[in-house]
Amino acid sequence: MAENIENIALTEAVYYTLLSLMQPLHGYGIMQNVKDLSQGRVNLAAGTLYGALNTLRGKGWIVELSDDGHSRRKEYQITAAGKAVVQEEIKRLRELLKNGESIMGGVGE
Amino acid sequence: MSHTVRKVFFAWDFEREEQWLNEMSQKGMQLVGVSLATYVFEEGKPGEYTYRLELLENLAWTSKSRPYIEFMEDSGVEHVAAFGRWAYFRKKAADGPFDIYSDLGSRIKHYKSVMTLCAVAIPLLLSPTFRFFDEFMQEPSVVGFVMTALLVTFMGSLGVGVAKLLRKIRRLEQEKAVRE
Repeated sequence: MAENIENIALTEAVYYTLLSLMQPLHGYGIMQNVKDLSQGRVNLAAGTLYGALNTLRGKGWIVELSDDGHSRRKEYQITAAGKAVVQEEIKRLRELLKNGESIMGGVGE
Repeated sequence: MSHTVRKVFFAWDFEREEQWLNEMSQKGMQLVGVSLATYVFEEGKPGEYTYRLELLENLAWTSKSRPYIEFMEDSGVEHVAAFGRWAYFRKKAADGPFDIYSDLGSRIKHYKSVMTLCAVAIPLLLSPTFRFFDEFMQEPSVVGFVMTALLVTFMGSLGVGVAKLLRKIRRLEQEKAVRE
């Protein structure tokens, strides 16, 4: 994680997906949750989300929870590494916001 | 009542194929099955479904594709038909807009997948083309000429298709430099 390549912005899909996985959630639940969080602005499509979940798993930012009951409806959850990434991202967004508002003036709600 | 339509769409034209399927849906013809250059429709309510098709990483009916198809189904999407690696999905229009990809990155990845499929087919066709051409040069025949011409035309079309997809990818990548 020391490489500078990790300091690039997260996509909205990834950021909101990670945020949604603070609690265990399945794919469709993530789509609904992100839609709610963004008040309808961000609509994750199933194909995009599926790819994102695989990438996030590969990076160790989320885990797939092994379930006992149904073999479908796999649930995912964020890991400590994932939480650290989100926290770094929030810091980055705060810096962007601070500079934006100080230069452009307060932007309306 | 079911209707069978014979129509040819090439891989690189999958978006035109998709558009045609949605136009058929608007006319009340809902796609229910697919095979080589063949589409089976069922009469239904006009505009009832939105159709999308996608090139999967593996053959649609194998177990490797199962997790993805199940994921799609869990989100309210129906897997209607498949042909090779091509999966045909549909969602009720009443449930809202239906897209498989919602950001540039994943759309680019899909275009590249289709482009690779087309590009790989070209060298695979070179060998049979040379064989027919060689045979034709040794012993000219109508069949030999037609086969050579067909194969050369098809390879040319594949090349054009690859170029078209490349242009689409470039355009999206330029857009991606600005926004997601």
